[in-house]
Order: sequence, then C-alpha cells, then structure tokens
Amino acid sequence: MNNLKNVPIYTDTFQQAGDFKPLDHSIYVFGFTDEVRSRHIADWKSSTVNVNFIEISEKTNSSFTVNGDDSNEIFLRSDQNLSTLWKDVPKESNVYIDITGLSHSTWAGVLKSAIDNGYKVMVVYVEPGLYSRSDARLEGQIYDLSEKITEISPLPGFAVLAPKKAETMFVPLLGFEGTRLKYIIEQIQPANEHIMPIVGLPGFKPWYVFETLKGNKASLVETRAWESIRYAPGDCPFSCYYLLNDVYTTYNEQHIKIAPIGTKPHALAAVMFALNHPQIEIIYDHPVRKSGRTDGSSKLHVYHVSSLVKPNPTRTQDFIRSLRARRTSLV
Amino acid sequence: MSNYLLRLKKSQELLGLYRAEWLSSKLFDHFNEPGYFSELKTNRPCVLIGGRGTGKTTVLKGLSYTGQFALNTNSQIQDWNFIGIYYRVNTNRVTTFSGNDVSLDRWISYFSHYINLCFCQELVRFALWYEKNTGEKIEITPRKWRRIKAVFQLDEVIDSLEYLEEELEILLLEFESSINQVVDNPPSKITMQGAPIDILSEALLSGTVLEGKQFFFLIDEFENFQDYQQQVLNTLIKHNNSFYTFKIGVRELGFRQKATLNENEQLTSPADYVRIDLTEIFQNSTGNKEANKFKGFAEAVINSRLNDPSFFGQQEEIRITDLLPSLSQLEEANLLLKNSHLGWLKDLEQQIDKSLYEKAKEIQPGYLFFIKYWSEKEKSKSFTDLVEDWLLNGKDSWNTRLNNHFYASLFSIRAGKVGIRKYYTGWDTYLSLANGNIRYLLELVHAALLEHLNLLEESDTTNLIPISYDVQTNAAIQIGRKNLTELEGLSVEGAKLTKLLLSLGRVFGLLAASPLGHTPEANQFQLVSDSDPATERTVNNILTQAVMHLALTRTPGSKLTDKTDIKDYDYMIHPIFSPFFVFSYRKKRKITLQSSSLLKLVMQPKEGIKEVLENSNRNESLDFQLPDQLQLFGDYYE
Amino acid sequence: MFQSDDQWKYFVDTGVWPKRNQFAPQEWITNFDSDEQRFAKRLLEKFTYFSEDMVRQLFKSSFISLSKHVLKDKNDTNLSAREWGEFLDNLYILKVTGENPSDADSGFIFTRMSRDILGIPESRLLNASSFIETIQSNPKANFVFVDDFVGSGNQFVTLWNNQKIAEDVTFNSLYQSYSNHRFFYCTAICTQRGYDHINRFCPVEVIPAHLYTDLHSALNPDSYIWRDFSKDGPSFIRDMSIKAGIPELPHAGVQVFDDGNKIVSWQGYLGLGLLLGFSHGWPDATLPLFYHNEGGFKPLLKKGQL
Repeated sequence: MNNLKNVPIYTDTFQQAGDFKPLDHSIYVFGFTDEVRSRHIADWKSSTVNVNFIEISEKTNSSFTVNGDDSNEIFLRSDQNLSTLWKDVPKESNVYIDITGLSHSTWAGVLKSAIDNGYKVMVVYVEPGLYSRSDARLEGQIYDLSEKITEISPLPGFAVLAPKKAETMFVPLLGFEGTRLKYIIEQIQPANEHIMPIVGLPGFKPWYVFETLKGNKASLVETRAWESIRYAPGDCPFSCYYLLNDVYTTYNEQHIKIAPIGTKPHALAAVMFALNHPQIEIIYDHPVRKSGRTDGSSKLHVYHVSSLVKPNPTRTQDFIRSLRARRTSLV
Repeated sequence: MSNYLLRLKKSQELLGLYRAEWLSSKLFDHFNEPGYFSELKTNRPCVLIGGRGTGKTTVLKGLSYTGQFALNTNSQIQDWNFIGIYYRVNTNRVTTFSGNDVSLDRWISYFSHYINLCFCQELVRFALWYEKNTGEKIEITPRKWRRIKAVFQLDEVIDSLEYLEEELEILLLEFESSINQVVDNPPSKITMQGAPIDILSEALLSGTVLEGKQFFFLIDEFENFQDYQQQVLNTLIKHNNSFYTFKIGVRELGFRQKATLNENEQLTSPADYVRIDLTEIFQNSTGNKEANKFKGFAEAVINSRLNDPSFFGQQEEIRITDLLPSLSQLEEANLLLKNSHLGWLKDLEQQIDKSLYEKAKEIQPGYLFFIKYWSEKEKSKSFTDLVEDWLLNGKDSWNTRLNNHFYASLFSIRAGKVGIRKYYTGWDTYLSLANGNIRYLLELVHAALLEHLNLLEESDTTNLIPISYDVQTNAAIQIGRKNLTELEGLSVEGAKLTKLLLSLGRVFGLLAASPLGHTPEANQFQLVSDSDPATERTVNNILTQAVMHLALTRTPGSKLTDKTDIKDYDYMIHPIFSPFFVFSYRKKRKITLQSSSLLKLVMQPKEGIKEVLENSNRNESLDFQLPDQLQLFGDYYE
Repeated sequence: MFQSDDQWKYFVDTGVWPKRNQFAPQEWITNFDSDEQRFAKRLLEKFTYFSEDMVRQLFKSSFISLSKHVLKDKNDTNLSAREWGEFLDNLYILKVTGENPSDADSGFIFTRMSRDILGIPESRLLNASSFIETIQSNPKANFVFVDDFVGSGNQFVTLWNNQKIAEDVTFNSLYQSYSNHRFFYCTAICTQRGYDHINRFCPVEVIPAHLYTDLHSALNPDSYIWRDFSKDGPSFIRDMSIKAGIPELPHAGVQVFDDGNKIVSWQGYLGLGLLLGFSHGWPDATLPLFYHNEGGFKPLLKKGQL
C-alpha cells in the first residue's frame, strides 16, 4: 500500500476546454496554432480579470518572440532572456504554461525558467479531438521523415555532454510514428536489452494503444523491446514521471536517455524528470509542425507541476559541488 | 531432434548475432592479416570508408586498447606499438554546438575545446587502465604537470592521474552548464585547438614507460560531425604530431569537408592520409584478388560456426558450400519451365520429320526454351527452323548466343507469374548479393537456415540435407525486403531512398523480364544532367544519401580523384535488393538516366517509371503483375 | 491479405492478442466472402481487446486517478501528501455483483486485483456485513466499487438502490444515514450511457479508465470504426448477423435461459454495438457477430479451451 501513497496525481481535468478558466491575476503563456485547440484562449481573454496573456511565436529552434514584438528575440539558452517574461510578476503568482501549441524546445525552456524563478507553475494541455487523418503508419506506407523532423539535437538548455555512467538505458516514450523511433535507435544504438519503451495506456482514445504498438512494430520486434514495454496513461505526466523514477532507481548504474516522441504529457514528464535529476539526457528529433493535423478538441488538463518540481536554479553547480565534496572526502 | 539438426540450430542462432564477440574476433583477425590492411597499424592517418555492415566499427573497436586486450591474449600490453582510443561521434552531443544564438567562430572555438576535453579524458582513462593492468606507473614529471595545469587553467596543482581525471570531469560539467546558458554565461577557460592533447599525450609518452608508442584516435561515424566540425578535426589530422594520429571510420561520401579551418588548406590522399575503401576492396568482381579474400574469409567465418567444437562433440564437417547448392543456368531454366516446353514439342511434332523429332525430344527443356526465345527475336527464322539448326549444327554453334543471352532470358520464363520468378541460389550467389558486406551475408545465411530448420522440424534426419533452392531464394527475397524497409530509418531522407529504390527496382525488374530485343542484363545506370542547378543539387543529394546508406552502389572509375563529380560514376541498385525486384546482380550493361527522370522516380513514381521505361523502348503495357513480394507496396505503384 | 496476417501474428507473438484457442481472427474471417472481408478486416483492425497486462494497467490507472478527485489544493505538496495518505488508509473495496452474486462475477477478479496490484490489505476488501460495520464505525471511511465494465449502468443502480445487503438495508439507505462518506466506482471501461445513468441515480463518482461514447459504437456510421472507410458499416453488421442466424430481440435485449445460456440481440445489449473484449471475457454490449458459434459460424472470441 505504501507505494500507492507516493503516486498522487496533481491534475485537474475538465471535460471541455470551456469549463476551465485561469485564475484571476495570473500569467497565461501559450503559443497560438491554427488548430481548433487554441480557440479557448480567445474566449477567455474577454472573460477573465487581470490575466496577463503572453503569446509566444517560435522563431528558430532556440529562440522566440512574444506578443508580436519581433524586435525582441528571446533566446532559450539564456536565463536572463527568459526571465524577462516574468518581469514585474509578483513572487507568489500563478503561472500557466499552455504547452498545447508550443514545441518541446520552447515550453521546456519556459517551464524551467518559471519554476526556477519560484512561481506556482501549472501546465495546461488540451487533448486533440481526432487526428484528421490517421497518423498511424500503415505497413507498406512510406513515411517521409524529412517532412516531419530535423536532426536529433538536445532541447536548448538541456544538453548533457559528459555523463558519468558508461552504459545507457534507453526509454522511448512511444507515439504512432514508428519511423521516428527507428531513426533514433539508429542514431544512438542502444543495446537491445537496454531499451524500455513506455506506451500510453489508457491512451487518449481506447484504440490508440493498438495504433502505437502497430506503428512501432518493426523496431519493437527487431530489438525485442516489446518484452520490456511498460504502460502509463497517455494524458498523465505524473504517472509517467513515477514510472521514470522507477526505472531510474532500478537501473541507477546506467545513464538514462529518454526520447519523448509520444504524447505531450509524457514529454512533460521527461522534462520534469530532467529538472529533478542530474544528467538525464533527452533525445529529440524536433518535428516540423504540420498544419491541420487534428480537428476538434477534447479534454483540458491542468497539471500542477510545482508540486513535484521545485526551484533549483543552481542544479548543475550543486551537482558539481557534490562531486568535489565526494572527492575530498575520499582523499 | 538429431544431433545434426541441433548443430544447425545452434549455428543458426549464433549467425543471427551480428554484433557477437566471436564475430568481432574473426573479423578482426581478417583485417589483421599482413599486407591487407597494414596501413591501419602505421603511424599515418587513415580514413576507412565503408557502409553499415562492412566491419568498419568492428575493426576500429578491435584496434582500441580494450579491443586489443581482449583479442591479443598472446602479447603483453607493454609490447604494443600503438594505443587505440575509440571515440564514436554522438549526434546528440555534437549538434549541441549549433544555433543562431552564437556566431560560427565561437562555435568553432567551443567545439574545439570540447574535443580537447573529450580526447584528454580518454587519454587519462587509458593511462589509469594501463597502470591497473600492468602494475607499472606512468611517471609524469612535475614540470609536465605544471604544463598540464596551465593549459587547462586549473586552480590547483595536480600531480596524479586520478586527480586529473576528476578535474576533467568537472571541467566538462562546467562546460556543459555554460553551453546550456551560452548567451548569458559563455564558456570560459577555453583551451586552444589541440594544445591540451599535445601536452597530455607528450606527458604520457615521452620519458615514461610508454615511450615509443603512439596514440591512435579511432573516430567512428565521422559523418555525424557537422561540416565545420569536420574542418576542426581535419585541422588536427593535418597537424602531424608524432605522439598521436587518427584512424577515421566514415560512410562513403560522409567525409564531406576536406578543408581544415584554413579554407585554402585541404586534406588529400595519399599526401595527408591513407584512404581505405572497403567497398572497393571487397567488391566481388572477377580478377580482383581481394574479393577472393572476402570469399575465403566469409566461408571460414560461417564454417567455423557450423562446426564449433562445443557442439555435441566432433562429427563430420558441415560446409556452407554443401548447405547452399547452386543451380546451373540450364538446371534453373529446366526448373522454371515446369514442363511448359511440352506444348512446344507437341507443335513441333507436326512440323518436322520423325527422326528429327525424336532427337528434338532429347534436347534439354532449357535449351528448347532458348531456341523458342531466339526464334521470337529472329523474325526471319521460325522455331522449327532453329530447332533443326540446333540438331544439325550442334549446340556448340550456339555458344556465342548462349553466352551472351541465356542468363538474361531466364528472367522472362516466369515473368508475370505467381511464385518464384527467378532463382537465387548457391554460396557464390549469396556472396555476390552481399557484395562484400559481412552483415548482409550473415543475414542471408541466417534467414535461409531458419526457414530450412522450420521445414525440417518434423523430420529427424541424420544426414546432411541441403537447403532447397526455393528456401534459398525466398530467404534472399526476404532479406532484400528487410533492408528496404530499414532504409527509412537510416537517415532523415530515408523515405526518398525507399521511393528511389521502389521505382528504380521496378524499372530494372521490368527491363529484366522483357529482355528480348534489348541489351541483355541492363542493370546499371549513368546519370546525365539536364536540369537547373537547384534540381541538380537535389539529385546529387539523393545520390549521395543513396550511396552512403547502401541503397545504390557505384563503380569507381580509374580516373577518379577526390574531386570527381558524383555524376561520373556508374550506379547500380545494391545487389542485396536484386532478388526482391527480380533482376540480375551481375554488373553488366547500363542505361542512361536524366537527372529530371531520377527526381521524378522519387517524387512522381508512376510518371517517372513510365518515362524511364519509354526511354528504354519498353512499353508500360508490358506491365506484368507485380511479383508477390511487391504486393505490399501495391499502392505505391498505382 | 498477408499484411494483416503479419500484423495478427505480431500481436499474438507479443502477447497483445491471446492464442488461437481464445481469439481466432484467421478462422473468423473465413465466415465472409471476398467482398465482405474488407469490412470484416476493418472490424478486426478496430477491435479493442485488452490483454491481462492491459486490464491491470487500466484498473490501476483508474484507481490512481482517484487522487484527482480527492486532493483539494494540488499546489500544496505537503497537504496533498497528507490528504492522499489519509484517504488511502481509510479506503475500502467493494465488489459489484449481479442479482445472484457468484464467485464467477468479474467483480471478484477486480477485488483481488486491488489486493495484488495496489497492495490493499485483505481486511479492507469488504463483503456486505463488514461494509455495514465499517461505515458505522469509521467516520473517515471512503468506499470504492471495482469492476471491469459498465454498460447500461442498470446493474449498479439496482445494486445501489435495491439490493438487500442486510434486513431492510440497501447501500442507498445506509448512505442516507451516513452521507459524509464518499463512494467511487472504478472501472476499466464505462459507456457514456452507463456513466450518465449512474450519475443520475446514485451519489457515486464513476471513474473509468476509458469512456466509450457513441463514437465507439459499430452501429454508428460516424464512429471511429467506420470513419474514412464506409458509411455502410452498420448495415454490414446487420446483414451478416442475420445471415449467421443471430436474432433481433426487442429493445436490443438479452434473453437468459434457465440453464444459464443466453442470447443477445445482434446489436449487442441495448444497441451499444461495441468491439470490446478482455482476457477474462466480454460484455453483452459487444456485438454477437464476434462470438456467435452456431450453424457453422466460426467465432472470433472463444472461451479458452483447456
């Protein structure tokens, strides 16, 4: 029973996006997309009190602008740049980060900044209604990756250059697109027995788990990684986080590499985990957003991330200090 | 299950393990042979060019100090001449050093520093390993320690390797931290290009127990470096330091930048490095004695698995050549015909006199087919005439025609039919399909054995039963398909390569199936430019990727230099795919392809295929039903 | 054809689908001629069969998401830890049974899962009398019903309102006297209809891992099953069912015989028309076309033969 106590879910779920509204006097950061899923924000603007809406436009893989101001480019690899988002925001404020319309690189950097600056951070995510055409790949269908991804590279600000541990444990968070997994496995070449895929179950829709398994068939069969599959609800970053924690403690001699190529809530789990643990390497292929991928919207989730991830702006320096301390104690 | 089957089963399992230890040592021994790759062991930089499955990584790992230690149980570490430091280029690390938040100049200096730290870290790791495994101490003078401290700009005095190891670790972490904040907090204490490596390697090698040895930095997957990063490494390679040199593993066409950081300075072979092209060396063309070495090597490798002494005591030897019998061309024709020649005989009966008919009945079905085939070509003579010609003048009078056309005609026997349309059998054929790639060869043998064992499961045979022709062929088709589907994930452009192959493969398959009246065995192509620069660049890029990832092979001409245009080659679909698409793997004639056609084959397959066929005077209406194995891709061709 | 075979084999080899003696797509597909097979294959592609591993995961996730309903201030880590801990320490499990409770009820499987997967002590798996005792003695007690599937919701509503758990006592009557206790119903799958029905008639919070709405019904031409494929899906099902001899019962009902056998109307119970199976069986809401095995019709779903 004890292990259940350690896995509370800090999520509020609303059946319709319209059922939720950000609290008064809060900050709401978001990225606009042409998808229906962004419409709720326009509705709120007229009905909320003193909510500061910050609209992000992504410029490059490592920078963005805000509220249409092209002259001010904010770089993700700059805490100072990112802190300007919170200029004049009082300390105990609620900050919402809506990751629905933002790429992983952007929201991960903004999230880190908001947390390290001590705010109460809540991540908002709106589930897609239905994919407008099946994103699940059919066998025999040729999947043009170059229309989808760029190369693998770290999320800006999250690079890991010198892991201490030699052996790798590769944890891909699976989506439908098996070719992306194939490509990543080809690039990082993990040992077959050190691959632990995480599949979303329950998925957003009941049949998604089967689409995921089908889509990744080639890699799962060739590496036999299907034998190591674990499940976490596709819409829950906390469940996924706890699972990652489980893997981390069980395989603590190994260097963990996580590929967030599945749902965004799972990607959030990966980033949260990286913020709380040193040297977690995130492998990502930075897909190019295709317009009109989904139509309709579904539930809205508010994830109370601050309950699990505490401010730690000196995390790397602390880690270094701990290494030095360990050394002097051995001498 | 009988012992014989058990042995086979065990071998088959082992053969499926491409990365296994036993293979590494065998491969390494092979590369170790004197005179073969001797340049690898000299103190000159080498660039080892080869695709996935050529053994490149195995060799480099074998040269590393841990590899040497595992492989060479005979020699003492102290006696080694060189010390191999293995370093695989990790894409997720090197792409960190890019982005518009920092200028290129600064990226160059940060990246150079990163390489300095990484390589020095490896040197220290080796030094500690050496001390541990030999009990000898590497004595570094205080003066040298001071130089080390200075080059890294360390705060404290260091005087031990353990201390240095930890300091380097911390330097890397601090560096990592500052890269993650590169705009606010750029890295400080940047070391100059190569300086720490020079100083540390000298400290370890000069006047110590390691005196006289040299470090080899074994850099694998060089193609993963960005362009400017290749230039940084080139600068180090050009550097020519006696304490260390480089052995580089790279895919064909992956060595994109030959310049150093000084644009005017280029690395050339053989002046600056030795170029070892594994594909050239292993290509299975006649008259190439190196190719026979691959054959001998491959045979030895597989036979050793089949007869491993640990399997149930020594019994008679199983040889791979016995397990993979081949069909002669005539036997194959007979097999493919399946008695369809009987109809022709019946017609013939009416046409010629009885004694000739009796003799005609004795002609091998395959030859009878060929006579019929030829009669369709020679409009002036009828089938009957030609049969008479054969009978009266003898088979020998037909030898020239047979030599030039018999093999090609085999592809037309079952064109458009269900089931196997062409056999691919025999050890020599498998070698040809693999084209010098040990991985492909193992995959073929493994697949054939697997199916063979499945079929034999019920029986309890104690005799050697060879693998049937059907099973051999189906295994070859299956491996072609496997590698075709894997192509997608090999590169960001993988899908384009798959499409290129699906289109080209179909083209060559159709050309093969209707050889009559055309150049026999046309399965290579030469490219002709006919488009604007942007399109040409796109085509070049596709070709580069295709060669790099073994979708296509290319024949190097004799006049090649490093500057040869990518278009001045003859290209062929990699032989491993020939059973899948059903055409010949032998390098014979070529067709000409326009750049625009090639692009169409990728972007608009249906039109592209039609266009290319028309240019080869084939009519699309000759479009036979797709071979069974291509049905999966049926939608692609519609 | 062989593309599907490959895929089916993959699912069986990896444990997603069970062996042929429980789940037989190759046999089932032979019930249909070549034109009809297109539709049949589509049904197979969209069938949601949850293996034992998956059922355990669904159950676990439904249970753990109780915290979403229990924690008051999710921003406060310490408070949340205390709340959740206290909630778990005072949580009791109840099973959902039919009119004639038997050990074969799937509810029983789930109470055991509560013990095995969640680690809830045996003493907190309640029966009728221990429930009455608990609700009377523990003011902090909260109760969770567990089950695999909720279809119409009738079974539960009846259980809540009408089932005599002691002399003159029903769940509802007890609840009226001790209304500060919370009741939850954790189920792997629940239909929208069942969800609404229970919400209407019982003060119980239903927490399904998956909610099956109209979009999941094979009788709805706009469901995910037929979307981008054909509007004639529902007619296919009707025609094939009739051809196979599956009857249409009034109100798409179920008829149970004395010997325990039952017939379900071709639309699946109450016209729910689901494509759903579990490793331990399937609900009446699932289309009979999948398990009908008379008159030479070969079923997809079979009870495992030993």
